[in-house]
Amino acid sequence: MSIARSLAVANAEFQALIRTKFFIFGIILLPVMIGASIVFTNYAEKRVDTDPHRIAVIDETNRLTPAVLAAAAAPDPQDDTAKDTTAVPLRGGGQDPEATPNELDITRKPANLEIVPIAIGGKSIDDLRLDLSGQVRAKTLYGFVDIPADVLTADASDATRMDYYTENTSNSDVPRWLSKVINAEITRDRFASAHVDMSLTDRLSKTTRLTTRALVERDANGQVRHAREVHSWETFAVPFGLMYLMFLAVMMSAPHMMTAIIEEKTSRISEVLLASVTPTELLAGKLIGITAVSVLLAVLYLLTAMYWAFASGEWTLVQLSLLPWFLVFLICAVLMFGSLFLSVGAACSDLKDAQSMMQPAMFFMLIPIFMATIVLRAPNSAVAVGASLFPTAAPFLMMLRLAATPPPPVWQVLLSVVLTAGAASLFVWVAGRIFRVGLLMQGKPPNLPELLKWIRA
Amino acid sequence: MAAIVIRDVSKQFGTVTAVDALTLEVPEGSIYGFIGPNGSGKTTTIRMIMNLLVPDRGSIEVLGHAPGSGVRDLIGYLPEERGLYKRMTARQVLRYYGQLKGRSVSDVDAAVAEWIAPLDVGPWLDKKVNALSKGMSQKVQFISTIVARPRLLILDEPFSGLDPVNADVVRAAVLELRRRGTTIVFSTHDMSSAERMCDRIFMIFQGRKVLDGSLDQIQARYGQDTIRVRTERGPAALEGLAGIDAVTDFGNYQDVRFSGDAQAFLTALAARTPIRHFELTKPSLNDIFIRIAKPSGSHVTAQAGAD
Repeated sequence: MSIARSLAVANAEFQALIRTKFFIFGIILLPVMIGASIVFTNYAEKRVDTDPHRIAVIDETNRLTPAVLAAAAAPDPQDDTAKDTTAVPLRGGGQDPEATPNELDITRKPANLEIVPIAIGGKSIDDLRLDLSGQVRAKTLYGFVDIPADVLTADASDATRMDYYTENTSNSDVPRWLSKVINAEITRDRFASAHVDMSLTDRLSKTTRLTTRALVERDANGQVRHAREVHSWETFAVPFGLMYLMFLAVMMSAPHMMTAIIEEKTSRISEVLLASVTPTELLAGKLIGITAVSVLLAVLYLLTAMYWAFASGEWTLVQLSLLPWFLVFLICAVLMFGSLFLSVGAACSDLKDAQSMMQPAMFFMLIPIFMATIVLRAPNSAVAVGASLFPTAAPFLMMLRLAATPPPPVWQVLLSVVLTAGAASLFVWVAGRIFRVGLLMQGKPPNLPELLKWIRA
Repeated sequence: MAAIVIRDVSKQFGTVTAVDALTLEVPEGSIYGFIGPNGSGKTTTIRMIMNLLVPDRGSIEVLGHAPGSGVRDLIGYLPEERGLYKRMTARQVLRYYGQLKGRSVSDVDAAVAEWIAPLDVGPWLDKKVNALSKGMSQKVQFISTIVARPRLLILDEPFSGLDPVNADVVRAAVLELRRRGTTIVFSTHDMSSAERMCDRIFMIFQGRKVLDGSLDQIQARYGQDTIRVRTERGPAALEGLAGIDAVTDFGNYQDVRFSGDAQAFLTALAARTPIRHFELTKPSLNDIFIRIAKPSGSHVTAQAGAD
């Protein structure tokens, strides 16, 4: 095997790849797209449902409606634009202003909300419900809520419930908001009936903030150094960032190789190439080419990220010790998925066939992305360890664990490197076998038994 | 010394025998024409010489070596179906193909420079391949096979798709390469090119060698059994005359394969129609090809468009 020939191939592939519009746009567009999608999602969540929400309230207790009307008139405390205004606290005041809002509390006041109190006036509840349902059908109402009389009794049975009627059953914002507002008032009312001072209970049951910190260390002067606070975004940013970057670097080069190979096959370049180089030299060249592209891409992004981190004083985010691991895992991942896509390309003679054969490969690539959250939450669980050792997922998930705390034991990291490198070699070897037969093959793609025959031949 | 030695080579694809016990020797410095109908085994033979296919049986020697890495750089190969990278310029493609043969960029540029004028490709070298006309890209492909200065040149259908001017230009380039000592093997369906250019001709039919030798040797095997006639009534005048084995109708004249007394034939024909031309001749390569490839063909074979 001639290294010079492979390098000539690698150079050609590298040039071809980095000159594609896809690549140039991808480099710039991807971060822009990620940013834009975050901004858009944020915006859309607040702005999409701007229809008038006219909600009728049948209040059989006759005591809750004023609170609902007040809450409907107050600005939304979840809305950024309404922050620091005098939001009416839902829990009767006295809430700790320092407390960060519970991240899981995603109750949002529906836009254009109008509460219509319904006077029962001796009608039967069923008649009222029927009448209001008609109004909902006629679109003059969005929905209505029925609060039974016994909700205020402190010993309300489990069977006691409020009902919300609407045609838009998929909109969960409205019932969630109603439930929160009404329940807050019910609680306040029960406290009052029991002659308990609500502000006292709020003060007594005030929550204390829990801060996540790194471990305490003794510094060079022998002083015990107070550990710095770890922000939740910080623990996620680096591991997820590195994993997505690796994913991106592989995605930008490996699948492109498949189309390139098919183009060579359909425009009959393969036969010319094979008259000059062996299939092994050709495969090696192509793999070197895409590895170089992936590494270049990753380094560009990493340098930008590091520059940003230093410039904005977030230097603790930069962990240079992760860099060698990142490169090792990146190269393994590119070789593995590059060989996979090259094999698919070599086995097929047109893009349609290849795309259907490519789906399983894409599936394998996406598994680690789906598993990332589970792995990060419990990095030493059996599932996380198993997944981060499994070769096709290991580069992504072991990288994730390396960047997260606590770091995985060294033996696991080394084992996953060995397994991944072994799998990468196997993938390359198989691709080499498929290359030998597939490149000059035209017509229908092989089925699995035929493919196995190629590999064994 | 022989440039290519093929000894008793067979190749099967499934149940089809593509090449059957083929033995052939291509002398160095010669132009060897490979002819044969489509699907008769020409491309398979060439791919085995290029080591793109491995024979099931027999052995092949190319320039004194087994086919493969050792001699690959010494062979220029133009496959029947060939392509160029569409998004590269012609010059980039030529440099790339040259590098794959182990040549430096400067070597390749020097070799390309020699062929710019003869093949008239100068203005197109820095254009993207997808901007080239079909003829121009074929000439670029031809140059790409010779940029590494091969000792052996294998051309599969080099003239197909070229207009007469470009075909002549490429033909001249091939002859120039032979003059410099390059051994040339080319396959073609153009019998007149084969007749005019080749030192030796090899015909393969249904995987077997059916002809191998110089044009004279081949024609000698078929004797002077052909009469070329041109009459006022055309092919109709020949109908029913005794001794005619086959008629190839070229429109303006007819080639008659004839056994018997040519004088008696002339007399009989003259009685039917005024004769403009009557010539005893050797069978053309075209005629021999058809006789082999279409032995059970119709009595009168129309031959539109050929010379």
